[in-house]
Amino acid sequence: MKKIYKTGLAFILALLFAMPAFAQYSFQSGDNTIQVSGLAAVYYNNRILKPGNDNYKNNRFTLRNLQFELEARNGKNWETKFKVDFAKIMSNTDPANFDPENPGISNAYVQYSGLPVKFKFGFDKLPYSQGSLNDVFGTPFWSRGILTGGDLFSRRDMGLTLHYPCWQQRINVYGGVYTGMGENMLTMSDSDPSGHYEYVGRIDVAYPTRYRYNEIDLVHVPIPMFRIGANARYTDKTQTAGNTLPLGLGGNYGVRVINGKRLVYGLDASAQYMGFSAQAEFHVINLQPADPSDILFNNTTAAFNGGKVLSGGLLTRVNYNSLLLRSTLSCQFENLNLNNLVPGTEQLLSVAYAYNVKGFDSVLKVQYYHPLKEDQNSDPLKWTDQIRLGYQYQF
Amino acid sequence: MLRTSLVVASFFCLSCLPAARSITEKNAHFTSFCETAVKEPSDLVLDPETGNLFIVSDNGQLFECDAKGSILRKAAEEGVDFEGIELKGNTLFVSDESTRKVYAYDKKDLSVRGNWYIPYNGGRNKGFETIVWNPAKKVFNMVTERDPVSIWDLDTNFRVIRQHTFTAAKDISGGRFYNGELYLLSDESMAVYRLDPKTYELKEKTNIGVLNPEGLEFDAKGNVIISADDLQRLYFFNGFTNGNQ
Repeated sequence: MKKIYKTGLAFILALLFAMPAFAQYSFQSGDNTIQVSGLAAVYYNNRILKPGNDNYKNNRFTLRNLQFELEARNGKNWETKFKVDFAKIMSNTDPANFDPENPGISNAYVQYSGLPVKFKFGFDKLPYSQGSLNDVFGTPFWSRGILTGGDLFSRRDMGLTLHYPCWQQRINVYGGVYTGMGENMLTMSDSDPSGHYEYVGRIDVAYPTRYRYNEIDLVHVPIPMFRIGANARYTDKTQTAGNTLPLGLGGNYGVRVINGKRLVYGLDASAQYMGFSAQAEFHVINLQPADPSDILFNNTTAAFNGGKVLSGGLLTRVNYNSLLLRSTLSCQFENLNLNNLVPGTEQLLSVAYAYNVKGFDSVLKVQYYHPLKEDQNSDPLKWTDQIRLGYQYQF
Repeated sequence: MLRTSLVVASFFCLSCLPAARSITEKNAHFTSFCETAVKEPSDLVLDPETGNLFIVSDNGQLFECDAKGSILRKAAEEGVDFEGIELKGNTLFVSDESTRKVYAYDKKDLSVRGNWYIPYNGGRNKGFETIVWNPAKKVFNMVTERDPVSIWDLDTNFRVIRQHTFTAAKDISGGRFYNGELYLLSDESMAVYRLDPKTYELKEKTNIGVLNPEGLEFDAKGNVIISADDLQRLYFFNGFTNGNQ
């Protein structure tokens, strides 16, 4: 047994040393280009369960992602992108157990960039929240926080996005109109009975140069770089008499889409310098359910709640990337109040480490989760600690 | 358990060690910088007759600028994503990274004389970042950006003669032949590498500490000009080429 263990370890190490070069693949025809790329990620998940709990998504190997991406460009102005995740497209057919962070289809859009304002039509990330816009595959984390992972507000939707970059792309202004159904649009193929849209806007300003949506400083930028952003979104999904919202739209905490008005706004900031980087953002979710007996009011009177429910929280991350050690270390802290009419708040700590065999194209990642404070009413947990260890490979 | 720990520790230590190379490493002497009106400048070449700079951009445009980066004129015909430029005689050779084309522009009127297609199936944005005339081998050198970095020898009709893998830098964003040596610029490493022009053996690394360096050129005195993409700047250095002068 010991020999098998040693042989296995030696095999894995040899494999890591012998990893070939990685690259996307592209094909050209005149000024037209098609590019193919992909990603596979597998992890082992271990949860330390509370006494009295049986196996709850514990001790399991998970195929987190099996992505295939096709990007086509015609000249320099037209672009279309399609990305599907085969690991999720089959498991995400049940609206009641829908995973908004991995909806199965990540992108399906056409973009025109031939004018000062870029037009994008289709299904893609919404221009809201830097933590959502950042690429999780470029971090040591296996998942985003609760705040930015899609449980409180959708991260993707179908619609039209306008993007106006200016001042050498240091300033970016976004605006868009969407179905308001979020990632659930994929399983329902239709809007809700009200048909009302969601409107999203964002502006971010970077200095002294353009700041891409990357969390880790992989190149050790020689000058301090900063970015601040502000964003907001609004929808009124009040249902007419006799109509109800489709099942599963509310998400884990019942706040993603509601029967009523919903205004979400937030601020974010990001900085990086010589391998160090940090991000912070907060969001306020102002919900006005149309039904006075809505469960979100938690049986409080209208005189007490004023017809309004607040949700939201704060998320911060600090990271350091060592080129010498080929390593990235990140720490994340979240403070959430899922419903201000329900007693309790939640604080979560997460520490993640990545060993960059080849940047984040071929990387060993481990993430540890620990709730510092549990919200027993809004988000009771069955575990006390959780660890995920796995490998991510992209070409 | 101890043995296993040692194996794992050895793996981490060995993988962290920089590759053993008998090269010298030094820092460049920065003198000044200026802003250029060219958006996203990706490479530049000096015209020794006029002292002007020809600059290409990520938007597939070719400009003639004065020595401080002010635009004097612009070529009418555009490409998609220009990343490299070289001047040979009265012809400007421009490489288009996305479409894998090389355009030949007449220096006098900036009209296109012809173009060549060089097949390469790497990532769309990981194609040829630079084009350099290498008189030591009488070939054009074109270098792929990354995954892998590869130095290609091509004849004057842009037929591929040979490819050489280059592993010293994570990526390559520019290059130039100067004073009998081949120089390659790396964006992510923020450094210039001096190579033997025939064997491509690495001789020296010079750190420049510039964010997003994309283009590399030398003036007649050996001073170095670096174009930076995001900041839209030209940086000037001296004391850069004394490795074996």
